[in-house]
Amino acid sequence: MYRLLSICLAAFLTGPAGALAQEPDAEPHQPSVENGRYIYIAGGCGSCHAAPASEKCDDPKTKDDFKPVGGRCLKTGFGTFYVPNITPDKETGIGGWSEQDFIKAITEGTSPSGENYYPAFPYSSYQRMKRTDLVDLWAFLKTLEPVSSIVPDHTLSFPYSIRRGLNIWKALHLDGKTFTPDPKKSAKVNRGAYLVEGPGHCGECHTPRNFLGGKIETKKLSGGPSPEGKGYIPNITPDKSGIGSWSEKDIVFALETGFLPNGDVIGGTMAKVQENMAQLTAEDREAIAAYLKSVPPVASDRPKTN
Amino acid sequence: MKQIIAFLITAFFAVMGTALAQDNPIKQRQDLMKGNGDALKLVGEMLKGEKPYDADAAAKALTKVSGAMDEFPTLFPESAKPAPGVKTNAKPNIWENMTDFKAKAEEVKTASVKAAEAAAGGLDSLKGAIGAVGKGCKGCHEEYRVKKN
Repeated sequence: MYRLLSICLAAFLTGPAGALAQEPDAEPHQPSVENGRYIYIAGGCGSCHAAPASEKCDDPKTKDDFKPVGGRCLKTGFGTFYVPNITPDKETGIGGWSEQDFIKAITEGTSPSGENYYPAFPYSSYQRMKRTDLVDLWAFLKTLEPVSSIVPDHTLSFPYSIRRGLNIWKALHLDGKTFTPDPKKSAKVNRGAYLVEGPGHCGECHTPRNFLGGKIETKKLSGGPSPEGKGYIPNITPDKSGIGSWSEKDIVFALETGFLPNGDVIGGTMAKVQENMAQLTAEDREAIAAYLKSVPPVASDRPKTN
Repeated sequence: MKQIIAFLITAFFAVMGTALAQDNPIKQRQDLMKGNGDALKLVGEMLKGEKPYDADAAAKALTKVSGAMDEFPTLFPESAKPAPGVKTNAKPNIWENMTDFKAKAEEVKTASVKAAEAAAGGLDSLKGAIGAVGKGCKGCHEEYRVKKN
């Protein structure tokens, strides 16, 4: 406990610099806009950053996924977050950023001016992403139409309104490690693991959190209360309280068509995620399914409703 | 004589049962949705290769869905609104947006008619058409069905 306290205190004062060692840069990478677009879809960037389809700022439907002008609101227990403009507009978007600024933002949760981003931006998942994918994603973002769009400030309650406080959260939840394949697993399972834990950021909703807002690794993907307050996010581990009865084909089919094994359809915020997953290659959906069936089964903590 | 009485009693309950169901649009619409779920489960099993692909059976199941979607939007009279003590997953905004609600039901109907036609073209043909059905279902549930937790 003292150790935890001292980490917190040190982090609060100095920032989590030590935790964020950069991986050594490999050989130069020729950016692929096409792969960047694919990663944009796999990461669900548009689902959050595009304008909502209606006047309702939390309408799960979007106007146009490839116009990430921001403005969507995320209503959480900490307050309301407004999603920023990530079009390459110089004044109101990220048009003035360098590639390094972008990589720092998405993997360290730090803005070019050194401010902390709130983890509603899932950088603790995105830190796992391959640097080549990030370079490609950046190349793709720069091809989008710059749109001038000013987004309201977050309205958060104290103490969450203090961005500096996030240094503590970052020290606990960022390790700066990119995804490392497990040599004991197949290439397919490792690809699935990368998509789920990196760009797909499935655990941001499907992994339960502790009182400090950190994902509980031992209960990975076993579901939890919805971060947006209403409802309970399903367990997607192969436990009987999760998707134990599903085959890999059931998972692939659900991601591709939206149909669950019982003939019902996927709903809520997952509906949008599923539409993104439907645009991936069949191999990638199969990889995700293979990985989900390979993770340790964890019983859901979900309280009984009846 | 006994047979006649037994027949009359059976007939009486059968008629009463039907009458009750007709008077209970909530139950009727729930049954239709249950039927849709079962039909689409069967189609899904064929598309996943868990059951042998049977074009006729798939078309029949999808025709059942399109038929159900004809009847479904007629089962929302004022008397069958959500109320305390009434078990329904229908959201009250259905009655405020009836035109849109009916359009969404129509969308599912059109998509399932197309999918039923696509079934004859084989598994891949049907697979290409089933997404639109799912999209229709999701679009409507998202707006008008109480969220499942």
